Amino acid sequence: MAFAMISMVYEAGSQYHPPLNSPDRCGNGRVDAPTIIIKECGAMVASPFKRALITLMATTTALVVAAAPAQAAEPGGAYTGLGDCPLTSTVMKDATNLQVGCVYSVTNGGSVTIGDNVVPFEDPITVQFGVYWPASAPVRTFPDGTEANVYSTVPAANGKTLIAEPLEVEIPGIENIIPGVTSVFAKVELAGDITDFVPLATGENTPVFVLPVKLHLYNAFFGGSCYIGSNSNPIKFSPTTGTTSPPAPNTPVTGDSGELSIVADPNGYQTLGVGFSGATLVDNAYAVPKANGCGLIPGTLDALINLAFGLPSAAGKNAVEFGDNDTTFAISPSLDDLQQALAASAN
Amino acid sequence: MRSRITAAAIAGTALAAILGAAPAYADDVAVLTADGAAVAVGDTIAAPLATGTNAAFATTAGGTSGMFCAASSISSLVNDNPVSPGSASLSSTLTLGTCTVTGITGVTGVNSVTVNNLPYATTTASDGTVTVAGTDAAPISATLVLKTLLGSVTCVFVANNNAISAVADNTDNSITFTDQQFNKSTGPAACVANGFFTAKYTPVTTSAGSAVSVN
Repeated sequence: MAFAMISMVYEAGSQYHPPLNSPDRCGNGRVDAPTIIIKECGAMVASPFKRALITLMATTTALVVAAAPAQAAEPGGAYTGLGDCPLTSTVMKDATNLQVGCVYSVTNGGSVTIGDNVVPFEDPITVQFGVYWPASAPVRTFPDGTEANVYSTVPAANGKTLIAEPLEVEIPGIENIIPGVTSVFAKVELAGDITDFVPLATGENTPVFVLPVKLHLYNAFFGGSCYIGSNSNPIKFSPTTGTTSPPAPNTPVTGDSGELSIVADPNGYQTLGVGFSGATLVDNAYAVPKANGCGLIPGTLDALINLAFGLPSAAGKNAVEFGDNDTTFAISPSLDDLQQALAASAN
Repeated sequence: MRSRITAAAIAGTALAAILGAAPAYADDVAVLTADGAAVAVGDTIAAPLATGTNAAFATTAGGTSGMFCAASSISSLVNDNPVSPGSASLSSTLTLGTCTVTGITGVTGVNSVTVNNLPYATTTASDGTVTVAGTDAAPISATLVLKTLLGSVTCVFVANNNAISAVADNTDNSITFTDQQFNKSTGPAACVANGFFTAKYTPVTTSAGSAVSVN
């Protein structure tokens, strides 16, 4: 099915890379990483033109490879998973930042509920980004008096901020016989920057971050631009590990901070490694807007989808749970220190 | 008749011997005394930290990580001071200051420490046991405001079972709290789950400066 292609981690617009450890296009062995293929399939050939062409390609490739930056080793230890942190971003480099850091968060369970439709998260959802505490030093004060730093975020490079497999959603009232025809695949996509990242909110009845998303719907009849939510009117998840305060008919639900670990940098840098494992983040106070752009003629099926899924769905009728969540967070007073700490951890 | 007199004499001698071996609960001696006299009801007795020690709020019993305060004192208003053996009743106030944090990664300093709901009902028994108790409405609790890289964290701790105890020792007129458990009541996940309070206060003196003994 066409939907199988959507399950790749690369977002729309990125280049396709062969799956790791799959046979290459010649059927000769396995591809261990995205690479440039310059050899010919089958027997060696010897025409002068081909030899010249191969020589030219090889030379060009060598130049490209030589000019390419060396691939940094993946951070390890308390910083495992932070390899896609946008350390070279301009805003991360701003010398007036009071702190900079990296976040890598994987959700291994939970579900999203829109009206009466409960869709479990059967595959991991990864969220990763850079953070900085700007010179204005914004804070949020909790009822208990805690004054928590509020961090701005920087998307991960190459559209890797949110990595999620498509979710199969059954269409109410229709028996699911042919997935993608009698059901819908919904891919969670970012609909803007993650905002208001407040790590100290963990354990408090306040959101840890705000995640604006839209659901890209795939079905044989929905066309290529069928969404619930949009960049201008997204679904805004504001998950907390504490207790929610939703409007009726939903009632308060409580998340879980999981196990917290805070470790000093093992190589003496000022960077701090903060880990949360087994956490549960919940939000049941968000609204879900109408569908848009659906149908082989975009928009023609919007009303039908709205009817089927009860859209728009007002706040108090929806819920999301990011369960079994493991988060790695590194924070430092300076970008230079952070970079060195991450690099040293890979040794 | 003679045998009855002999028996009575033996019994009297034995009783005298037993009384002679018992602790010095002399007639009309109060539980709290100073200079041989009962500490007056309405007087305030107080003590500083033992010289060269800290009041500790450790993250584990007997641990070396936690918050350590170089300045601390206890003072108690005497509400009742009965004849020994018995229990004196007091209202106690505890102060903590000049605190630093050691061994807790990510905590860079102490903004403030507040002991809440003072004063606390306190009893001092003739055997030297000092018990400090809170109420449901006014539990024994402390608020720690700590500096961290991620912000200023406010952690509130409440005494386990809403009571803590200490031991009074007449040899140095001291009161010693050892590993009295507090549990986190409110605060973010960055607050530790428990704190264990240890402190020695000496000498305990009256408002006139006389050392206080427990009888």
